[in-house]
Amino acid sequence: MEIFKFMVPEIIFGKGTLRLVGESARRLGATKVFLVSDAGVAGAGWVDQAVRHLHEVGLEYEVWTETTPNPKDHEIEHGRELYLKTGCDAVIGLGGGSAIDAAKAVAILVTNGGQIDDYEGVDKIARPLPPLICVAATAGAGGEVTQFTVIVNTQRRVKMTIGSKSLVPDIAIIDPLLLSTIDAVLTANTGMDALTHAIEAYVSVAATPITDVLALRAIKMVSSSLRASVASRTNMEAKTSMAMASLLAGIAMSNAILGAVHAMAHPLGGLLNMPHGEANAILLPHVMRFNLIACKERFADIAEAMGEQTEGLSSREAAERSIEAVERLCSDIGAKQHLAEIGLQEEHIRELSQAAAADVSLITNPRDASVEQLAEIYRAAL
Amino acid sequence: MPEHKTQLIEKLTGVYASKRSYYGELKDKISEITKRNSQLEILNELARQISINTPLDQLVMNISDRVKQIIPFDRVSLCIFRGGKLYLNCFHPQDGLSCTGMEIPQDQGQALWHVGQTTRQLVWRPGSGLDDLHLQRLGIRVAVISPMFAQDRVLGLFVAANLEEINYDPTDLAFLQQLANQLTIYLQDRDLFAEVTRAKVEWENTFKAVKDLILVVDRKMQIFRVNPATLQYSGLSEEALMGRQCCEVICGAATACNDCAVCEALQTGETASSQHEFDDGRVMEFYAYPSNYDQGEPGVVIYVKDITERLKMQVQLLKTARLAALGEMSAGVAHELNTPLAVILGDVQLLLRELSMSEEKHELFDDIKTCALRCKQIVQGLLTFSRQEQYVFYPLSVNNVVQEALKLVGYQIETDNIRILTNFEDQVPQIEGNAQQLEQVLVNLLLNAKQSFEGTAGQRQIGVQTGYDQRRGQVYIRVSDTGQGIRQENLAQIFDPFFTSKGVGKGTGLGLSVSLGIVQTHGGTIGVESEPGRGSTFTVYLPPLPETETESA
Repeated sequence: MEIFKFMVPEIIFGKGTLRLVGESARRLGATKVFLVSDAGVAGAGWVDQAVRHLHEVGLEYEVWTETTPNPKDHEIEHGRELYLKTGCDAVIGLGGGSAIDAAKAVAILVTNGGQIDDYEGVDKIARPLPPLICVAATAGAGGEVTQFTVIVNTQRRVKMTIGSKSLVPDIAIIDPLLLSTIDAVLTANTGMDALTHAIEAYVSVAATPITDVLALRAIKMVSSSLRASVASRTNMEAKTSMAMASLLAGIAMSNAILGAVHAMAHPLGGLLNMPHGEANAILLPHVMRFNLIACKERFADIAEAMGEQTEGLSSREAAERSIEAVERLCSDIGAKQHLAEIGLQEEHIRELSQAAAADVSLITNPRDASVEQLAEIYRAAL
Repeated sequence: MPEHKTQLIEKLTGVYASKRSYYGELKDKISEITKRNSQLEILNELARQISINTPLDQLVMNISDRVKQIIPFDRVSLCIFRGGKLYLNCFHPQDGLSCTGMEIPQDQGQALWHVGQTTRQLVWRPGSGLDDLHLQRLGIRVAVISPMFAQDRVLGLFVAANLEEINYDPTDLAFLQQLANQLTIYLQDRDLFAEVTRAKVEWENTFKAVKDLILVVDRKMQIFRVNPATLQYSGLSEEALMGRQCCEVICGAATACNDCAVCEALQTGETASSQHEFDDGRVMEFYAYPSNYDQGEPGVVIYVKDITERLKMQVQLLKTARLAALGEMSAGVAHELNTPLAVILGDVQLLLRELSMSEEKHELFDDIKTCALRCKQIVQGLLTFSRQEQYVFYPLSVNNVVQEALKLVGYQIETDNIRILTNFEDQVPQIEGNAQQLEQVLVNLLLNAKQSFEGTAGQRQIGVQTGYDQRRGQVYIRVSDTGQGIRQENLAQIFDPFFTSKGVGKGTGLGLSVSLGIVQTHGGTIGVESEPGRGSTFTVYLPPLPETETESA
């Protein structure tokens, strides 16, 4: 890629930075904030804390926590109605991938109008969004820094990917303290999501030197900290490291785009409402194996970043080590290894493959994949 | 697919997809609002110009100049449908091909006619399917034809045209249609305005033409509108009259009179009328018409007419008519009586001649003769009153007439202890008349005057005056007494034959009616003024000789 654009939001990183949420919103000209979160984050007390910070700077707010994992189009419709009815003028997303995706989708509709499926695809947003602040409550999803949001079309039962520079938030707040209330399973799933972002960005056909640096560093940090983070809720060093890894992976992924793992994981979420992180973790080694021939050296780099000993090995052997490393990490953190475990059946594969082939994420996959090839991968992961 | 893929990657990672900027959005919005503001300003201006009645071509020129600032076009024109034909009403600027009022036949202006029929705005370009020679000749590349639609028909077309190819955006088109709508209102209003103005002027002229007073007052009877006759009547300016009480201005009274029609109309909401007699003798008739009674701000339109003259005339007419009737009857009676009287008188005289004075019956016949003579006199008087007799007229001086009359009855009056004061004007013009007749009038008046002192104490004086009344242009003889006067209710009847206030047997009741008959035969009148207890004045007015006038002049 000879000419490229690299885009990141204003980033605030560090323990306790959640308290800056009110000031940040005010700085962007907000007077009444639409705070999007979910039941889990609210239950952990983070919504109350965020609201307190909004109140401290004299901002009004409307809290909306109706979003569910894999946010649905009709939920977004409700969010838009509430936003307009209550006269809000800024959006804050506080949560994992779902709450942040929902926040972005509501932001699209309140200034652009229409239905959310009008914006499916790339660069379809014509008008600026209201001031948008995203606070990450997991280490993995990365939505707080990306140009994407993914919403389920409940009629077509597919995940619609919406990509636009306008979706890059104005401010991203990453506070590792928020990770301390997440259980081990979610920590593992989101951590694998981050790793997937980094690996797919690194082998992406749209990778640039900037994203390479970020992706490799993210892979390295996940490899060294995810086990410890899954192991302990209170290991702040591991949590901080995972928060940074997720941030770097998110930036890399937003600018270098994804690959077949995401293309294939999206239909699983849309059709079977499968948790995104789990699906990614299961699919990742199989897709790596499929992609291997496209860029052996890059996979060798990944193996090295994951701490594998590659000296003296052929590039092919070194590349294969990366797959082993990923499988080992999955095994260590107790991630599921078969799609059947989370409800996939053979009869779904045809429909899933067709959907994956049409997914935007597939375009930057290093190896061209046909519907049949994608079906094969699904079968392998079954 | 690979190309599609490349495009998507370009949009995701390339330099041409950007985050939308609020600054850009704001600028777009501001320029949109600015444009919209200018549009509104123009519409406003147009609305304002409607009311000040700008000529249409001037208006179209103004619009053209103003609208050009926000929507580019080179030419604007207005076409009007009239009697199934389309005419170019006005256009701007001049082009050397068009002229005001020229007809655009359907085959020449297909696009224009098309809009007239469909009533939908059309953006016309040459070669767009509708050949419009009229527009093509002018070298127009784009024309926005907006219908001027009102009450289910198209009044005309508003055309904004460009000599260069240009694309108008939908808001521009919508605005041009709005302009056309506004112009439609203007055209309708203009016609309506002219109509209303004409009607208003007509009414104002009517109001001005009335020579009686018309005032409009509010519920407090304060004047807020008057006609010129009222200004003349009051001698005040319109400003000075406004807000004044109508009582003060019209009646010269501080408060409303008891039977005031205006008060009644205000109270009842019904039309009322009243008559008001002023101290100076004028009689005014008031008509009060309540107006605006339903709308909560009641007022009254007052119509005031001076009916003094009319009343006088009515009295005079009545009197004249009655006298004429009486005269006719009297004449008839007199003629009928004349013959039997002549027989009675002749027969009595024959009988008297045959009887000696000593005879007992002689006295009785003598009485019959005396009475018959008296009857004959009365009949003669009646005939005189009804002007059935002819006299010879000649120039004479009223002073002589009066002096002759005084010779006849002066002594009789003075012996009754009544002073006669005379005052004759030497230069009194001559009149044309019969001296004997006029002397009889004077004798009648003098004897009446003498009799007016009966039963009264105090000054006993009769004044006799002659002169010339400049105002009337008539010679007069005035006989005034300081006697008992005539009661008001009798005044109207004193000239009636047989009317008398004297006791039975004291008068025939023919004196004044006979006098009036004589004077009227002379072309004159008798005026009377009287106040019970103070006396009466009778004035005989007689026209002077025309020759005398020229001689004295």
